[in-house]
This record gives sequence, C-alpha cells and structure tokens, in this order.
Amino acid sequence: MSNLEILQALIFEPRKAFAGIAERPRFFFPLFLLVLTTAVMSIWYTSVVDIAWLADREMRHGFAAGRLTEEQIAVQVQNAVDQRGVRVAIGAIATIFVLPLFMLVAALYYLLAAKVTNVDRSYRQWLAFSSWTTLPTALGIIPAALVLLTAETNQFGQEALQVLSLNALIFHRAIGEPGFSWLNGINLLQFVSIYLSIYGVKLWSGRSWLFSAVFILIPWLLIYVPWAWFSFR
Amino acid sequence: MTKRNKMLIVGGVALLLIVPFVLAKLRGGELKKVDAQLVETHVITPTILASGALIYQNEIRMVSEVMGRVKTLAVKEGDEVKRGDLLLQLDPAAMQAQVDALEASLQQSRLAIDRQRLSAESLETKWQRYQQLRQSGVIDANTYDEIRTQRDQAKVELSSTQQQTLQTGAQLKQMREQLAKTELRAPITGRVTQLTIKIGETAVPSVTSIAGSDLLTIADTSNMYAEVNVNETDVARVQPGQKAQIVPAAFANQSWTGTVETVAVSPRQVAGQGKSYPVKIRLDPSEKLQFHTGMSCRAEIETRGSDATPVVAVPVQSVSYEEAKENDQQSKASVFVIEGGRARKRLVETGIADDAFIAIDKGVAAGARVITGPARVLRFLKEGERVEELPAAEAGSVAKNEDEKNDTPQVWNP
Repeated sequence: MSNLEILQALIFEPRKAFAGIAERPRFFFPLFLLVLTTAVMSIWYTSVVDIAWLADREMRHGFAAGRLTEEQIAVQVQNAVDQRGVRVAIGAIATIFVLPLFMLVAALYYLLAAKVTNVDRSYRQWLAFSSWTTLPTALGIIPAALVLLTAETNQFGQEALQVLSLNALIFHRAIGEPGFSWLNGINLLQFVSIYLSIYGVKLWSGRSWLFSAVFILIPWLLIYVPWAWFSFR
Repeated sequence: MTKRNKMLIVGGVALLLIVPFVLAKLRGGELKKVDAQLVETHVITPTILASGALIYQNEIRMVSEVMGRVKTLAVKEGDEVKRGDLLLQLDPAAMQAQVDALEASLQQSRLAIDRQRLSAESLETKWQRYQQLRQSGVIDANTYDEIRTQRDQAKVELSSTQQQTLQTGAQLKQMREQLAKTELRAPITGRVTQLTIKIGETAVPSVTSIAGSDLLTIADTSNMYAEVNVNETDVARVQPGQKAQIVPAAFANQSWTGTVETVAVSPRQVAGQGKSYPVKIRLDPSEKLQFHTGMSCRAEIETRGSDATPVVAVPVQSVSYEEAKENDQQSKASVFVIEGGRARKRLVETGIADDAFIAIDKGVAAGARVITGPARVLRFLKEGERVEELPAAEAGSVAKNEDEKNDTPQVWNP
C-alpha cells in the first residue's frame, strides 16, 4: 500500500491500514506531515502574535511568576521583541527535533511493552504505528488556521488555537486558573488517536479491547495524571 | 465501505473540526477586565516638590562677648525662658577687680583735679597780686614772669588731669559693660534648644566655631517653619501665600499644612548640584506634636492660582504617550474610553496636571468613561478590543478626587 492508500484506509478502513503498516512499516510520511503542520502553525503564530504582549503574559504567568519586578519584566519583554526572529526559528527547529524524538520514545515503549506481553512486532513497525496513529492530531491545523485568519486582534495565547481542547469546549479556564494548562493539553483529536492506537494494538496482538486499552493508556496516564496534579494545585 | 458511509465519515470529521471553531468564534475572545472612571471636571492643583528641614521662626545662637570661666548655668536644654531671664554667668572676679581699679583711679583723678584746681586758683590770686606789684615797680620782671609761668602750668596740668579723668571714666564705663556681659540673659522668649557650654569651661568670644565660642541656642517656638530648597526651574511658580503640605521624615504617613511666607532672592548652590532657592513655609498651628528643629521634611507646594476653575480632567494613569516618530514632532497623548463594550482610542491634548489628574483640553468630553487601568492591560490595549469594566469595589484605581484621599492633612502646634 502507498502512503496515500494507508492514509485513506486509516480514515475509512483502519483494519486495512494497520495491515499495510505491519506488512511494510513506513514512518517518514506521517512524521513529515506531523512535523510540517506543527512547524507551520508555530511559525505562523509566532509571526503574527503581539510578541510584547505574549512575553509580558508569559512573565506574569509562567514559572517565574511573582518573582520578577516590573523592571525585569519590561527587560524581558523588550528582549522578546528584539528577538522575535530567533523565537520563530527556535520554535520551528524544536518541532523538527522534538516530534521525531517523541515518536522514537513512544515506539520504544511499545516495543518493550510488546516484549513483556508477547506481542511480536519489530521496532520499525512500532515506529510506523506511533507515527500513523498520531497523524490525526495534524488535522488540528485546520481550525487553528481558521482562528489565525479570522482573529480580530493579535493578542491571543497559543491555547486560542486549540479550539478542540477540553478547555475551549467545556471548561473555559483563564490563564492562571487551576487546570488551565492540563485542560488545554487534552483535545478531541487525541481521543481519535488513542482510539486508533487501541484498535491497532487489538489487531496486531489479537487480544481483547481491555488489554489493548491498558497497553496504550499506561503512558498517557503516567504523563497526564501527574500533570493534572500540578495543574490543579 | 460504501461511498455514503465515506461521506458520512468525512462530514463527521469536518463537523468535528469546524463546529468547535464556530462555537469559539461565537463565544468571542477573552474579555479584558479594565478599571474605568467617569470623566468629570476637577480643579487641577499643580504642585512642586521640594525637600528641606524644619526650623523655628527665630533661632538665636548665643556667643560670649567676653572671655571667662562659666560659673553658673541657670538653664538646661529644653527649658522655656522669658526675655531677660538669666541664662548663665561667667566668673566676674577678674573684671570686677578691673572695675574696682578703674573706680579708684577715677577717684584719684578727681582728687588730683581738686588739688590742682586749688593750686591753680592760688597761683591765679598770687599772679594778680604780683601783677599789681609789677605795675608799682616793686618786683622785677623776672619774678613776675616766673609766677605767671607757674600759673599757666597749673592751668595746663589741671586741664590734663581733667582729660585723664574723662578717659578713666570711659574705661570704667567700658569695663562695667564688660562686667555686665558676664551675665548672659535671654534676648527673646523661647526655648533653649541647644546647650553646648558646661560649668567650668571657658567661654571664648569668637565668630568661628571653636570650642567655647558657642554657648547655647534659644529658639522662638511659637511658630515652626519648613525651609525647603526649590529648584531654579520651579521657583518662578512659587509665591508667598501659596498653600503647602509638609511631610516630616519622622512622620512619613502624616502631612501638615502650611503657607509659603518668603521666597529667597538669592540662590543657594551646593557643589555638584544645581541652584536652588530657599523657601520658608510657616506651618499652621494645631495639635501639639513633637518636632525638633533640623528634622528633614519634604514639601508639596500648591501652585495653582486662587481663581482656578474646574476643567475636564482624567486620572494621570489613563493617558498613554506615543513617542514622536520624527524629531520635530511632539509625542502623541491618547486615552481609551469604553463605548459599546469596546475600547475606543481617543487622541487628546493635555494641559496642566497634578498628582492625580491631568487636564484634557481637547479629545474627550465630560461624561465619557475613560479606562484607567490596570497598567499591564492598558499598555497592550488595542482599538476596538472588547473590554469588561470591573466593579468599583474590585477596581484598584486611585481615589477619584482629593477629598477621598486617606491621609488627612494635619497641622503642627508647639
């Protein structure tokens, strides 16, 4: 199957897609799409946002919140304005390295978990698996682009691009309120990705839905539960 | 999978992506919470800040006019004294001895005058007699001349002794005055604010500050002044009669009212600093408080005219300034007003200002609601942004006018 055929099958016939991935594991195409969409949004956002406003907001609500004087904040804001180009470049470069690294680590987990549970798949297959199952999250570029195109002001945080997040849909927490980062870190496309992953493990392992759910959800819980504790403190 | 099912899936995905976007748009962006005040007319009270020290109305540094050992001290630091009260006494013994000697010398001179007068009179009589004898040819010319010379000499000696007596009298008078100066008396009614001499020490008459030259200081505490140094760029606006608020360093949370009394004509120049002009502000008397002369203070002199009329004004923190793009242009001032739930930018022309308000000559009328803060929101506010006005109880804005300020002006009373 070609990449486009796998992509089409992933939407309409996931069973065929996972069979094609297992038969000929390819990861570059989905990884490229993921990196491309993420980098484009990062560059686009950083280029249009009021960088002084954003830097001021980050200083007041970030890790150093409450520990900086007004003068220090003003200096950081000016630095951000002077170094907007650097910030754009760093965002793009980070995406190029961080996303693939995330996929490699995810694939490593899948391999180790499979070894423990006697699911016989290679590392390359798991790498392709994690890349393709994460690909649905790239659809988030569409509503994000609509937000950027129709924004009345250029003073909005990155969370404003996440219209599919739990915070945007349900909770509407403001920055600084408990749970703000966590609720913005969970969006509907991730649930689609998780579903595809569980289904894929079920197909590859031949085990039950429960086994597949635990197989996939363990790393999510390991990340999101501690994050929730910090975020809601 | 059938084409219909595929269309359903595609449609579902499209809805999944578009509907949340539409919902987010309908909900609108996060409202910026702002403080706002109604634009009203105010009397602007421009002020000038200056620093200085508290002083008494009249402060006299007492120095001795004669040298002598301090024998008695009739006062101590902080005592109230009336004009003419004895303050201290120097040992008069030496001067008294000189006075006595001069009196004796004067007496002796007077006795000498009497003696010489008698002698002169006697010689005058004798000369008159010899003159007749000479005319009769009984005595020779030599004898006549001799007696005449004796008579003349007696007159000269008498005159000389009389002058010497006058001189001795003057010396005696001078010495008596010196003796009187061994008793130092209060030249004014007031309080002893400084006592530097002690019993047994020697008072030295001197105009420079050496040990023993300064005895004590008496101050008229009926009125207290703040003497502040006004910068030369501001002093032209200071006039006698203007009101001022005085804040001593020792009572930083309280202020006292005062009135400008004098503005120095000549400047004072401190090395490394600009010129300044001392201004004396008389504090209004009121409750008794502990003030000490020399205490540092700062003054806020109100320079508005007595006929100042209310003008349209906004809180100073609501005005933003944009830097001029070219050298010959002035910076532009603007404010944000709330209209229809949105922030609208208005270019304004500003006038005089005080600590709380700045006059608006053009651009905003009374009745508008001007956004006053928070500063971090105002800094990034854009034209047309949706805003939500915070209730007054939550707002962190300053008081609307001077009457609502927490610190009530207080006055000083000795």
